[in-house]
Amino acid sequence: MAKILIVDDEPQLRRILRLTLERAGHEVREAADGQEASGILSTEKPKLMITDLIMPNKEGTETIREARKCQPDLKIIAISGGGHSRGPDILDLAQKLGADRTFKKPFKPNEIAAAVDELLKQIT
Amino acid sequence: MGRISASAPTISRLSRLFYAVCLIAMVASGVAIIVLYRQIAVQELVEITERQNVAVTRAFANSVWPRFASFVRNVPTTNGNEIRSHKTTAELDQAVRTLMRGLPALKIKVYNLNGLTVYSSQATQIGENKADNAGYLVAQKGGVASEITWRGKFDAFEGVVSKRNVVSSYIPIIDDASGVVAVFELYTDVTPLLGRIDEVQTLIALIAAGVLGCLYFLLVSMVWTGNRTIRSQIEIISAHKDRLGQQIKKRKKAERERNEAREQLHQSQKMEAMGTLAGGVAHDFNNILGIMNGYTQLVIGDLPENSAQRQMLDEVVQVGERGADLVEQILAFTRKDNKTDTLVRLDWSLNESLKMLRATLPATIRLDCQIPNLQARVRTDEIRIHQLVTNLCINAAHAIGSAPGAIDISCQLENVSQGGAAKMSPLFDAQSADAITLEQRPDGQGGKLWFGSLSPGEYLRLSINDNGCGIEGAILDRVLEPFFTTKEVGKGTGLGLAAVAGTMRSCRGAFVIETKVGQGTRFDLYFPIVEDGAASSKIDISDLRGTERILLVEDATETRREAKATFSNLGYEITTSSDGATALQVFKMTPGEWDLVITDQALPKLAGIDLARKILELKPDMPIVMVSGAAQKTLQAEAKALGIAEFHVKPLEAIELVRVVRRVIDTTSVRAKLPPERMSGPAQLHLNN
Repeated sequence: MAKILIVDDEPQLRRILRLTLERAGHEVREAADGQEASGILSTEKPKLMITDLIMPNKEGTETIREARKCQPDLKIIAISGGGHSRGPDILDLAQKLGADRTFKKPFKPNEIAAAVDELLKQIT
Repeated sequence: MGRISASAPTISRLSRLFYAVCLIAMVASGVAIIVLYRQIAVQELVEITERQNVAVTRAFANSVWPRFASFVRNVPTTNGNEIRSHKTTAELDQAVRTLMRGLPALKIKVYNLNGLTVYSSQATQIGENKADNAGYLVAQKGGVASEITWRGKFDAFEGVVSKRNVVSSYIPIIDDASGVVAVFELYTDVTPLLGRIDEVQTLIALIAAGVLGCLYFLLVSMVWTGNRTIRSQIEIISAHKDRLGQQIKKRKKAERERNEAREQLHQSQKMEAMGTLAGGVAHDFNNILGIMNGYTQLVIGDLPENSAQRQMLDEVVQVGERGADLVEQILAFTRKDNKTDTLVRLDWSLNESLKMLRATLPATIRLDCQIPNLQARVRTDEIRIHQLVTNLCINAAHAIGSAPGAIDISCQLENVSQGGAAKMSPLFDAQSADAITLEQRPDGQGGKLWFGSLSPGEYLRLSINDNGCGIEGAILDRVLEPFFTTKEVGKGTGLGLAAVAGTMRSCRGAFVIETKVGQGTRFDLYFPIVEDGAASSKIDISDLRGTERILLVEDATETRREAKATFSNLGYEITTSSDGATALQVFKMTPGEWDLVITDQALPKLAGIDLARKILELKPDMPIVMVSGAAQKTLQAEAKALGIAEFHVKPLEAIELVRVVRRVIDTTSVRAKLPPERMSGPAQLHLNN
């Protein structure tokens, strides 16, 4: 069981992920954007972060880059619905910046849960 | 151009006729001069001789005649022997021979008024009667008659002579009181004088031949020069006409392109608006779908495996996924460049997609796939190929409907050439990757649609052919429009073919739709093949295109024709000339009309190097490319010194020549933009290569 940070500006999606992960026995923290996430990352030191990419205040790509710098062993899952001018390839960018896995929205909650288990196993 | 070039052979024919008529006229004139001279000369000779003969006769009449007049007039007999033996005859003969000594007379005869030969220096003729002789009759009436004759043998005073021209004159002896009393006939030898006439005649013939020959040569050369001038003028006019034709063609083409561009701009504006909308919506919409499906899946997890509620919620999730697919499709046709950087084995992707399709399509539809093992790869991504095949097959299935039907899918390598299938030509003529060409069937029951632009080369052709209801001609032009659909509300989004077009555009492919109402629809999609890990080996001619104005001087017809076709096809405005002199004239008339000159070295009338020199005198910055059949170092050095941009040795393929021209023009335009102090070096850059 591990501490997991969920970063998404959409509270409903955060809730779905929280419910999924808590059922699997994980301890979940939530952040509504990258700025809030940075604070939690430095204080709570979660093992894994699931982050959306397009968010207000601070975007996911920047959050990933910073997190990778301060906490190199943090496991990161990036999720995005694409859109705007950047398209779904923003997920490729996230992967290049350090995301371990990427998912396109709409995702299947149990697929995320499986990926979380797999990544946490790599730590232990 | 037809009428002008047609007159060139007419000019040749007329020239030849003129040469022949002149020659005949000259020869006839020469012969006439000679014949006329001879007639006049001989006539004069006869007259002079006649006058001499009259003088001799007068001398005879004054000196000898009085003694023998009575004997001649009153000869007692007509018997020759008797007259010959008469004593007076011997006396007369003696007197005549004395008188004639030293004179050119060959023979003398004396007739009395009855025509009887009373005396002849050839004694055997004495006693002959000449009363009916024409000459005698003239003389008997007081006239003088002479004629010139050729004698092989002649009995003269001095004996028998041979091969002589003889003038014989019948001359009357007139007594003041009685009138004509007798007739003399005098034969004079004019052979030497006639020989002289022959010599003069030969001389005149020679002079006439010389003068007329010179005149003929002068006339022929004048006509030939005129002819050549006319021909070169015709060539200049033809070249201008060609250029004019090309310009008109180009202008029409430009107009057509403008219209196409306007149409495409309209289309791309629509697409751009769609893209902006799609990009903006996609993010939020995917979030919404994520929430819906997320919660649903959480609930599903709590429900027993086979419960009715669980099945219903599965449906909700599936619908949510369809919504996500829709967003993906909207993004697919608005997106232009991303997601196309992977090399895909089309045969593998197709097989994957078809596996899924078999399960989706109704059992009444037979899916016949012929996809061989193809090594070739195309630049696209698998999801797009999957979408493309799915969209086309679902459209085909909808077209077939509930009745039994078939969808044939095949994929194969195809070498597409410009001269190949006529149905491909709109793809070669297309100016952009978005170009759409339409051809409705006259009965409106279908037609053809071409999308995209192709160059000749190797392609993977994916054909999807159904025997469904087909597409009506009237709506064929709208099938690629986003949101255009003929399906019932809720059955189709109207994005399927727009997404197909987006995919083909992004991988630089093209497709042809051929449809007939009641018979079905066929899609032929052409994917450019990409070499594994490297750029395509095919020549990329897109960089060689240009619109510059080229003057090509080449005497070899085939080479000229091939180069002209190649340059024209690539957009250049090319004018050709077959000789240096004409090319120079063309250039002199329109020096500002050219961006580059290509010249062969070996040319009629003016060699390439001299043409280049004269052009550079007129316009020192004119880029010139020279080609030569021989790699002469001195010629190359001369070309370099002259400032010729590049020198190449034949054989040189037309496409290579275009490459050279492109390079020279590009180098020249770069040089033109550089400050003056940097312009000295690169002028001979390529000559050193």
